[in-house]
Amino acid sequence: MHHWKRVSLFATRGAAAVSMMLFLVAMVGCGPRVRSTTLTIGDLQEAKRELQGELTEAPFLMERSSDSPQMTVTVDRLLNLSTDQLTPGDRAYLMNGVFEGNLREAFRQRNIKFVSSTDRVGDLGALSPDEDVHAFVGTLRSAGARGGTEGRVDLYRMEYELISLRDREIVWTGSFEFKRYAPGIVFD
Amino acid sequence: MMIRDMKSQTTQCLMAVASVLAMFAAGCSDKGKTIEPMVQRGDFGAARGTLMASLQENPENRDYMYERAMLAMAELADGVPESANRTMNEVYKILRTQGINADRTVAAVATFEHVRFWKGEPFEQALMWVYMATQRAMVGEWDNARAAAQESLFYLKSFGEFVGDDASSEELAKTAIEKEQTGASGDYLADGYEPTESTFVLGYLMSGIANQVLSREVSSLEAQAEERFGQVVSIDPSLKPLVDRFQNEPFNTVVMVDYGFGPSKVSYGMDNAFSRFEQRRGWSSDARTLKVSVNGSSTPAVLAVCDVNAMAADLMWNNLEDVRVAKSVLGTALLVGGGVVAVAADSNDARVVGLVLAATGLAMKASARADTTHSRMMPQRSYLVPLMVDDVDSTLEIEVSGDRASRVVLPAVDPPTDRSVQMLYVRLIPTRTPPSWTTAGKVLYANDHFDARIDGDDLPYILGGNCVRTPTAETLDRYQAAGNLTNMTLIDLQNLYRDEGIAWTIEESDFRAGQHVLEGGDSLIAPRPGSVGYLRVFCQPHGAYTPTSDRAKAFWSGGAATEADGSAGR
Repeated sequence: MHHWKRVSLFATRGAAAVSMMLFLVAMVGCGPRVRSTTLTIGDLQEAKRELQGELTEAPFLMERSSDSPQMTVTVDRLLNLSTDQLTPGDRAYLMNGVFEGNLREAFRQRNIKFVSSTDRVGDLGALSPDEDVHAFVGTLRSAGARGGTEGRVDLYRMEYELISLRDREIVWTGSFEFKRYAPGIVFD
Repeated sequence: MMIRDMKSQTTQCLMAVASVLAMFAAGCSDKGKTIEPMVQRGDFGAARGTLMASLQENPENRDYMYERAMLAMAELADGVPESANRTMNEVYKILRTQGINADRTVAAVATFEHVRFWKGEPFEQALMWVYMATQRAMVGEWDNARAAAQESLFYLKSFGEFVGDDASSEELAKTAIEKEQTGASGDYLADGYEPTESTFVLGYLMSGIANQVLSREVSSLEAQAEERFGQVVSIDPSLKPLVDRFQNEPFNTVVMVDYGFGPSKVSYGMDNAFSRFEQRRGWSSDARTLKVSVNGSSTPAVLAVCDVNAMAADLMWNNLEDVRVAKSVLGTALLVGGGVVAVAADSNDARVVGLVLAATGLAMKASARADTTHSRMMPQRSYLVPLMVDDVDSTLEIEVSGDRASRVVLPAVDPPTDRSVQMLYVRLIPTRTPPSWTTAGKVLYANDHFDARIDGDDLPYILGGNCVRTPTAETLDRYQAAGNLTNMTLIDLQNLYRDEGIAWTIEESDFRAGQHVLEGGDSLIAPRPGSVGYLRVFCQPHGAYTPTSDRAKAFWSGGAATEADGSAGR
């Protein structure tokens, strides 16, 4: 009798072990929500800050004053040559967003009119033919990827040009690299 | 007492097995079976509605990927690529979840933050990248299309040296077991393959086209386009005439045409542990060409650039995850071992251990059954055609040689609005008895993509007319110019639609267009011309609208028409 009690206990433990295994397997389905490995606003913020810094100190801007003839900068387009997909929101953030805050004020103080990609069509219609218009264009490229214990990191190179529409002269170029960090261990 | 205790223990073991079986039974729902008849009718609107109604939200479930893949394809087929944007973004997050993989191959499963995703068979992943490229191109994002097409060209895993690329997954599993048992390999499926450059012609061609289109802005991309076109011809020299047209002849429209049903995934072998793709009856591979005409002028017939039957039959394009599961003989070993212990043991301890192991073995055997969930909307083949559409309201006619039932007549196709290139997607209906609207070729309802006059276009459909244009000032002007709704403001008209629960922007629809109001849905978002959805929605007569709001009902009864609009007549 005592023997059977011991067996019963063992059997219960065996079944419990199986149940625990099942529970653990089932719990996998209740895991945390997936985190995207695509570009995020956080990644783009770094790019935006870098560009604002470069533009603020750009020679074409430093040489101007409030008495300079009016110049118009219009956001043209961002060409995505990276391996990532860019949403319209990403594009607007990387192009129009650059001219927010201090930079827009710096433009105003130097008699530069800014026309965003969303309103440029209407605004350009009001421009006089001899107005000094510059197009702001950007190109995003992939610059490789690396891995490690911290997970996958994708590298990007952002290139900007400010082009005079009058004579197609490139008056300013800027480029920098930034990275997208995917936290956690990712593997195929 | 002893017998009762043993029964109790056996019951516990069986309950454990039942738990495991229940867990697996709660897996994939395979909604594809439900929508397959809708696809055969060309009713992609109903397919979209069915899929959208209950999308799988758990990314660990294979249905998560497959339901979105099918939804995206239905959205493209229905001519609502803006709606597919959200779906494609969700697909993208899954496909893009990847690690640093030195050999540039892909796996069917990725693990991220302790969550296991099913990404799809390699051939399904490659095709989804191309569908994403198509969708991006359809909304004018050729740069995103380029990126997506490029992603489809990952390396493949070839076990050719010992197994052969035409071998079955069962043969691969047996080879793996042999290699591992003899110590020739620690994990043959992980280290026994050679990374091989992709042979995915559709991906190379799509990448070439995207680079070609973008090279109009960035001349340096011309070299990449040439390289991609060269790879197409290198893989399949018979496609040189088609590639020449893309490279050397002007075009402003690219049409992707899908035909037939792709293969089905079935299980077979011991415990149905293995899986393979089988051609569907009536949708076998062949070399038939696609004939396309623009306004009655024939263009050169083209060969298919993708044969999904062939891809699915090639071991290189199949996933290894299922092979791993099948390879595992743990379940059988435990079952046999457990059974032996249970029968032969002297002690009750051992008997119970044996029963528990046997129960686990049964459960593992159950879990070893191959998962045959797959995208049931994949076509048998794809064509890509360059066209020059010069005239507004052009008509395209498309037909696969030797299959009159595949013919579609696509009216109201305009040239692209700018100097760029437009992308169209046409899913030929996989049926031998096509509905008459596929070739009717006449637009019966005024819509946002069609400017010509139509009988009854001076009153909204929801008020008894034949106009399903979105409620804008211009639309209201048309009604009022005809003497209708003259006392109504634009806000009044929009509120009428709101009262009826009808949305006319993608934002209002939570970024997924619902079924069109002409088909009993709640959306005014018009399918694009050059799609099967456009034909089904606008080129066949639909029943009268049934109003639901008091205001619309009053219009129908004539009361409100007098009250709010003295001249509105029906």
